[in-house]
Amino acid sequence: MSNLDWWVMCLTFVVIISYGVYKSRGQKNVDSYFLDNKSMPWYLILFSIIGTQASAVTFLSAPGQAFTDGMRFVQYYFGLPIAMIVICIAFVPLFHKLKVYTAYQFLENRFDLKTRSLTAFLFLLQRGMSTGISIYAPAIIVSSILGWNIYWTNIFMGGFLIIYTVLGGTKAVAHTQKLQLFIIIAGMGLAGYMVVHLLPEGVSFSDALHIAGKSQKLNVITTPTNVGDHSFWQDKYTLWSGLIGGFFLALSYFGTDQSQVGRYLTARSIRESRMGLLLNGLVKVPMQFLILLIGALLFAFYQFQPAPLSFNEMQLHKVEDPAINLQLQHLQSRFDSISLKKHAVTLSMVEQLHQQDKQQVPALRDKLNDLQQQTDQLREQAKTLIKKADPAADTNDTNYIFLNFVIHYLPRGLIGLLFAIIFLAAWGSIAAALNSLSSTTIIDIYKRSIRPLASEKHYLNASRWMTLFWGIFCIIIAQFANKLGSLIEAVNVLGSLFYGTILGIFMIAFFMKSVKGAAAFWAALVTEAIIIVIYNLDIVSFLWLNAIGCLLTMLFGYVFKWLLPQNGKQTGSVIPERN
Amino acid sequence: MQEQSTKKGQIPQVSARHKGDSPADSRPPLFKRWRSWYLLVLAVLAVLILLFYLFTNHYD
Repeated sequence: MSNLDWWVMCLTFVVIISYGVYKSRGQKNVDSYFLDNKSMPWYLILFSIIGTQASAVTFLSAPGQAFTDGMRFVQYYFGLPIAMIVICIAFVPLFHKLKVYTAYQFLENRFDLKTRSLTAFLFLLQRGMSTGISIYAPAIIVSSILGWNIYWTNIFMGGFLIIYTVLGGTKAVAHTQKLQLFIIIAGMGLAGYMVVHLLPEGVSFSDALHIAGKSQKLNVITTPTNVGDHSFWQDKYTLWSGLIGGFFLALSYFGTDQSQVGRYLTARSIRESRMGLLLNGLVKVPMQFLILLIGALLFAFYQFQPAPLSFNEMQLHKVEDPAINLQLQHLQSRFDSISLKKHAVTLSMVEQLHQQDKQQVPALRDKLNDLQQQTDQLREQAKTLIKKADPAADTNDTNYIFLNFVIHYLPRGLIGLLFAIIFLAAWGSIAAALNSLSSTTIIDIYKRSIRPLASEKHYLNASRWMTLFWGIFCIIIAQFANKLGSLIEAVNVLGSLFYGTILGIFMIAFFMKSVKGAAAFWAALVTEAIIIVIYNLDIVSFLWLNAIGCLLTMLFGYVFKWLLPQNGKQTGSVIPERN
Repeated sequence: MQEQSTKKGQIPQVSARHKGDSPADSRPPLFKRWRSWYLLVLAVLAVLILLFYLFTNHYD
């Protein structure tokens, strides 16, 4: 990076951290620290919800995902708007009326302490680990570019955001997320513009879309119908898994994950919470589509430009074995030779597209796909060689595709800005996660079961220490994240292992009035064990785990209701008043 | 802010309205009912899926 890039990046960091520290004033108790005294308007809720969900992983992995697998990943978000509606109807009024700090407080009222504690524990386990991955995601950028040790980079990366998160709590998190989101949108817009701008002369935006489309990179909607086939259930991103599995995942994430519930609990009214959530339902799918589109356009871009054998170039340079290096050089020359052919065929296809020759285009498309398969095979062979040279090497370069473009093709200054926005995106989601981990530990465990009668000042200090503890914990988890493949998938897989069960507990609480605490508790434990077995057997794609987990918890809750002794009185109305 | 004390198994009832809970504060902007907002979100999703389907077919 040039000096200008360093200046741009450092200046952006200083502005964000200073702004966060400035906004952290006035924290006097846990009310202000975790809920900002319930004072936030809908637009801050919206920015905070988007900023919490869209981490650096979103901006790093999503373009790479579209580059390698096409844009079908967007279907994963189709269930989200429907989930927003359900949350607005069922969850928001209840949480507001109960005046809770965390979603899990409600479970003790409805069931018992052990169910509340179990759910809080599952959340802490899942969120603690996935936040570790969110720290690792931007850290790989720095380690890749500067050649820094990834473990030290993780420590460096996690430290900055902890400053304002520990000091300012929810208020600092939300206000910095607002600023971060403006910079991110501007930066990603510029990156998208640059991809198109850097296409060869005579190749338009529409041509680039045709090139990507002919290579199945614009497969936004996929609708397999072979329900009886095993592949139907293993296909990760389809319209069906997105609508059904995505709905359960989003419902669980936004309805029961404290990192999101904590955002809309800070709203000044039910209306503000609902508006933030509904507008998120309106903007999330188009936003994700545009981020993925950058990846599809990058695919078209690299048909005209020389691509490396591995987008993680540092990994290639690390190979020291002379014999393997020679083989890699041989692969690279074959790769370059095929890339030149691809360039020529792609240009011919663009020409035929301009002339609207419908006979030539399919033939050229087949030829292009054939060449693409050859380059893919060479890239696989290179990965095998890298692995042979260094068995510990991370050969999955999906997360490096977008970065590789940024480093090699963007002008000075813009590189610094792009790197800054990836850091900012990471900080936004990590800060919210640390805040939620702290609130759940303090409210659901420490204040409830360990030290219930301390002063407000004590709880405020304990909350700050707990935020610091979770920051350190997540950095430790980040040190192991390089074994998890595509980061965006790793985060979602982790979520799917626990979300279904957590959601099931809430569904029982809302809609199965006769099921009591013991039945819900054991149903959750048994379901969680089954979900882990299903995941290990690789029977279905991870998105389905959310639906299976939720439905199994409800089913077992009903079964255990008859098997276990029923304590306590019949429940009251558990469905909140609807509008 | 403290948790409401209630009997186990029941949703606590709020004795008095708290900040932001008045009828005026619960009313949705632009529309008369929240249901209209929910329908709008569903309609936008349906239109997006349709547009994406056409987009996929057009460039395939």
